[in-house]
Amino acid sequence: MSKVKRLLIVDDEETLTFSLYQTFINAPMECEVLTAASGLEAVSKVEEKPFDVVITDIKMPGLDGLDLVAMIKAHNPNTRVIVMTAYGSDEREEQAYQRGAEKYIEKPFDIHEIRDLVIKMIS
Amino acid sequence: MSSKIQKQKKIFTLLNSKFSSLAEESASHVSQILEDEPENSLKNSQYRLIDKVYNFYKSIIQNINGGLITLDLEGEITFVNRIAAQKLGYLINELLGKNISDLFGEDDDSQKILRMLFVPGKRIDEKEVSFLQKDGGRIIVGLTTSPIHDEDNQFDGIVLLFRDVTEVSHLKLQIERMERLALLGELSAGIAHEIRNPLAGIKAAAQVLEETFAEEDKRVQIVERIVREVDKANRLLTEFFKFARPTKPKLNFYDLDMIIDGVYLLLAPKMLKRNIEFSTGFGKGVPRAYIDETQLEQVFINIFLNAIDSMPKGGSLKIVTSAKKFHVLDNEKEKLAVNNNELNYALVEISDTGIGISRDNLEKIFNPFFTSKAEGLGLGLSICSRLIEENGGKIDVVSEEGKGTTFILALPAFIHK
Repeated sequence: MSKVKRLLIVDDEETLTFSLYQTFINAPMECEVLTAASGLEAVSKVEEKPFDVVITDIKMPGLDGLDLVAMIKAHNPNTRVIVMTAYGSDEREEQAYQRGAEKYIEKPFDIHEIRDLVIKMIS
Repeated sequence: MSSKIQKQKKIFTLLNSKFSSLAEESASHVSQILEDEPENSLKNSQYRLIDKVYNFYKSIIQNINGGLITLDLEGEITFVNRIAAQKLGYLINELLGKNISDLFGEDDDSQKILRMLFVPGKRIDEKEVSFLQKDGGRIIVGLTTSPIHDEDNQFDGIVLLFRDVTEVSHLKLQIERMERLALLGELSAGIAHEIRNPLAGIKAAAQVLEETFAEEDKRVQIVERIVREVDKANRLLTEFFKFARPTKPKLNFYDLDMIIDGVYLLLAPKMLKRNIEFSTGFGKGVPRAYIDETQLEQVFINIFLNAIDSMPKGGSLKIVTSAKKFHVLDNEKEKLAVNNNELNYALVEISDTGIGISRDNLEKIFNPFFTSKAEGLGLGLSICSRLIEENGGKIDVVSEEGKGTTFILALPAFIHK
């Protein structure tokens, strides 16, 4: 029996986190979906048990998304990270990739696109 | 006014207007006497003294680095120094007898100062006003006034002293604009986060909801509308950020002909459909411009699209390029990082034969959110102006209603910091 895949959604924007959660629990994939409302909450969940994919916002109170990416990759280099941002800039995009993010998407995005992307990463 | 004062005033005016010529005459007369009657030594020394005093005051008044005008109580000009006449573009004689109100700009601030001029006891200290020049141009001056009193200590006239602050005033406006834009850039980052986050939530929630409906369910259309409106709001934000916080240009040398041809190819189908004839006149020896290619493409697309919109019944769109040199002052060389006193620019003139822009609108077309179109956001030209500024260039426009519009871009063809 293959190991159950794990996905973590990190954002302080509750409506988006809830909608993404609904999307992924109904997506055609075997995956455990968890959410975190801050960078620090995400760190404690990552330390508990590693994730296959993490989707995180950048600007959050406390630990921000870019630092979170670095910590996740340091903890488990195999975790694939998608970064979401409400205010994109070339510098931020570069920083996200430098810290190990695999994909950088700007809000508001199409939920079907992010779902297809995660399914591809998980499978 | 008593007859005595009136008489004195007439004498004063007459003396003032004749002062220069009489003094010149007397000076030559003194020289003549000195040559012809050397024995008349007492008179000679008195003349010499008068001559010395006269020349002393004359050189002060004519050579001070500022304009000096005197007025009588009706506002008539009674004396003008050389700098004042030069700054206003007149000969001294053309200004004498003219009323000062003809020289004041029509803006509210200038008119307010004009009314204050004749209030007894009121002095104006370094107030900015605009003066109209003979050729219709305007200069901004820092104006100081003081009253003239007659021998009975009655208010009898006004001395106006001014210096040209046009350039300083323009620089001040430019700095204020840059500060406003910097502030806008910072604000926009905050706005982006606060608006795009809920937009992302609304769009995602709507799309999740949509998937719960059967395909034929009419409510799907409602959800699709929500998504469309979110996208529309986001497009508005994206356009606004292009203006408020453009990305730093990635500068390099580019052939403008290539960029213009590329933009034409992109818009050719639209021009064909609208029956618009496109032509170019690429000048020989036009230097390659030191700009961001993508940003310039965006500028050309915006201006071309506006031109197309202005010609609903067809017309022509002509692009002409040429080389232009601007002189650089020695003290500007370091700032502009150039070694010689000439700056090379590539000029691009984009002319359409469309409906043109009214005089009132012409002043506002580069303002964000100004639009004359029912569908437009009013950000296109403000973005163009911002991008050209970021690329170290300049943009200008001339237009005549019913005849067409020409946009003129001056793009740097030298490395600038």
